[in-house]
Amino acid sequence: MVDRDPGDGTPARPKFDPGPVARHVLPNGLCLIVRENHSHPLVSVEAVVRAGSYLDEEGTAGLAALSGRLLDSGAGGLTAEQISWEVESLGGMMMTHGGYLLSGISLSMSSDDLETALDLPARMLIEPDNDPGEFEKRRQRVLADIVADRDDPRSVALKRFHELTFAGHPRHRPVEGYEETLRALTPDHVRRFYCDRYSPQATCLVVSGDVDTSAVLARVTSLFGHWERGNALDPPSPPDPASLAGRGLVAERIPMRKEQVNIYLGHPGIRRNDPDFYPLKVMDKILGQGFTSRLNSRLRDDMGLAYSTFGSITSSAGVDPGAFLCYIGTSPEHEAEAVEGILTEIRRIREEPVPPEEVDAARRYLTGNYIFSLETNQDIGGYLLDAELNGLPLDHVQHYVEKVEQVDSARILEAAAAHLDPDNLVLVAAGGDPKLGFTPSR
Amino acid sequence: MRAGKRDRNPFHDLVLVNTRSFTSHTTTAGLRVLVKEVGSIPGVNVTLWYQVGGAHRPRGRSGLAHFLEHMVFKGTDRFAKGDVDLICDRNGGSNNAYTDLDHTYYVFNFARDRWEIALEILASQMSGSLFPPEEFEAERQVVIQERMLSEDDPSFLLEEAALQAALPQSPYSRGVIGTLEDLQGMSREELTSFYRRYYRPENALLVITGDVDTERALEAVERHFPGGPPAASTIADELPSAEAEPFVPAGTGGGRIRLRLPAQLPEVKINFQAPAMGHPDSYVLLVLNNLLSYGKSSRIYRQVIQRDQLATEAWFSYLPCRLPFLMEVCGQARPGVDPQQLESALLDEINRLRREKVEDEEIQRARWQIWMNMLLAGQSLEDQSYLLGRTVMVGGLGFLDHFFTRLDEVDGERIIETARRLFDPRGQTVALLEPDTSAEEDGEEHDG
Repeated sequence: MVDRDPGDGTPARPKFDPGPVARHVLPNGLCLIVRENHSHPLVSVEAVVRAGSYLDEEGTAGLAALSGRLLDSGAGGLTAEQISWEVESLGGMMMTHGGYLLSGISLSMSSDDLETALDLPARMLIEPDNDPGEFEKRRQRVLADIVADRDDPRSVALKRFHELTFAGHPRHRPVEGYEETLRALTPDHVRRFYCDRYSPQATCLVVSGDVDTSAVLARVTSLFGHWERGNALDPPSPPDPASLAGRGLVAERIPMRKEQVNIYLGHPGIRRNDPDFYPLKVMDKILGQGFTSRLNSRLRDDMGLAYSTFGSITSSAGVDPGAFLCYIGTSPEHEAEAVEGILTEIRRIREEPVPPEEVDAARRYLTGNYIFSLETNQDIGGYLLDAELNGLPLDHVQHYVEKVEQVDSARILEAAAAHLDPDNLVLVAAGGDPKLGFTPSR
Repeated sequence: MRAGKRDRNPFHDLVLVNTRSFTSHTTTAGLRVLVKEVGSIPGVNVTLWYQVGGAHRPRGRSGLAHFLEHMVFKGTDRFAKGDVDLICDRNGGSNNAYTDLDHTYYVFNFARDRWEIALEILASQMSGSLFPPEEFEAERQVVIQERMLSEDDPSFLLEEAALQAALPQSPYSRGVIGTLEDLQGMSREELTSFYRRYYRPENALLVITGDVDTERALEAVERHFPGGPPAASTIADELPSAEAEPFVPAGTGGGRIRLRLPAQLPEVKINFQAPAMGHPDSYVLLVLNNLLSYGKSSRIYRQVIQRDQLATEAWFSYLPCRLPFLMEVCGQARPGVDPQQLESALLDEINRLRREKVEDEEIQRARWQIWMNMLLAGQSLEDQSYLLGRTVMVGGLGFLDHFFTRLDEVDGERIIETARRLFDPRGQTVALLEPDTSAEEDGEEHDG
């Protein structure tokens, strides 16, 4: 314990006010959220569709991600080159993406260029070209990325972790798909995917920055209002993953010629709207996040086993359960010690009440530090989008401090016991001694 | 739709406000302080820069500055090991620390009602670090693990080899983290004397950005960093003058090196010697950073990645440093692509700059992008502290005053003249990563 705390002893509780936020749903179902921030002449636009890889079929794995990445490859009379030129000539930045839940477009521009920042996403979402030449180029890039990823032991281990943990659930697949499924895709698949899945009722637009709300609403209505729902399907909710209960430790090693062994272990996690979210958020801080976490202080500081180790259940919590996931990268001779160290800490946090001063420190960290992740237009746009998708009030951050402060040792113990299961988990090691098995003991 | 042109610079005034509206002060003890009042969130970022980095390496002791960065968290006369992190937690703050080729810097974020805690910690770390022997040994293992983690990335090893071949005599030639041999041989005594030499107020710059009152902030700094005047200032104030001699790369580069490593795809890295930050040529190179590889409309993306489909990724990069260093054009070949072909394509883009004059419109685009990036950085307190701190540490206090003027002076003539001089093939180093798919030992060949 610190003999002399330089602070005055009270917790930091800075207030964060997202300012005026407007939410509007167009008659065709498109959701628009606008947040005005006049501190910088900038605007960021997140235009997302619930058309992520969770909607892929097994045989077309990678279709959603490829369709997302193809959004800037020509639309509404503009070629791929014209689209990037249009944004980048004005100093702006644009990215198109396809993830697990969402696909879409992220844009940052000068607020002088708001018109372009709204016009381009409208063209790209409503009238994508689906040019066969561009399709082939992007497919080849994804295939090359898949090969390149095989050099990265963390990526290799994490992909295998998902395969084993989420067997039978969409999350088991890599978002970008497999080489063989990608090779089987055609431009027609993408065209059909756009028709079926890209629709106003599956789309959310978050505009954050130096803008006038009513002007944005008028512009968005004129650009997106005519977008018809057509025959597009409403986005379904992702299914629940199967529990690993009763399966014991499922361990696998992937041989790699690397100095270090990279280990992921864990099991399915929680949804963002789980009532235990806040107790688990405090637990994450204590167990595996930051320099003072138990994993870091025990495995890095005391034992010198690793440069990097962490664990968390809340960071991947979303519309469907993410994963409780722990990581360590260590030298092969310390592998057993490292795994045992992580398991010991998981067991300890679900069996022994966390001492009140440790809970207090974690709570104080969370209530003081959150403002630093809500600084930029993109930060706040991301926060608003997350709230919208997870059915949380758009101003829920204003209750963040009180929710964290309500968490105590008993709530953490209860939540950890309910949501962590050190006896039934998946462990994947990339690298290490191929002759060694896994025999962590209690 | 507009054709991607504009008549006025919407970023101009704001970027100037962002980069100029700060107060500079030097304390009695010789610590330079920059304070910038920003009320965007009720928080404050405090960043302390030391003029010591990977370039500062007593013979055979590469990685000392980075090791030291780890060790100042392991106990001071006021704070035991772990206390700094615990104090940050208990006060809702956070910290991190970084070492680059020229600097070591420590970053703290706190709410506005308690940001002075950062000063208390930083002052104690500056003068009262203890380096307990058992902590020294334990942390050596952590740093070695960090190095091992990097070694598992073939690109890291390629970069290291290319650097040593291109600039064997440069202080930068050993990078930041240090060689395994040097890390294993380092002693606590060496670390202590290194610390005493470089961790002094007159070798540091403190940047405070956020919801503070400048006058009170400066009083607090004086209180926490007391002491008499230093013997001499070691931070350079002066920009290299506009009339500086044209940068002429040394006659020979490092030739060609090939590295065989377990990897999936070949990589090509072509280095050229580059001038330091603030050198008139450096503005041309900053424009080239964007022109060649910013976004999907950049030259390398359009030609090498999109049109010819030779690389998974490819880019040009110039990071201005205190001393002349390197710029690089590199790429990772796609499966089935001959790396020689990628090498030629990358060099084609470089040689095109020596041959064809770049149109004003393309230069202006690059400038908008540089402005825009500075604006985007202006949204976060930590990014603002970084931008201010790094530019002042490397280029001196007047640097930002001249930055935009110099950038505006870059034109087609300047680019072609600079490219002809700087991208002389005689000065280049080509490093090639060849995937070794056999089970043999890793090896390095040198045929330069």
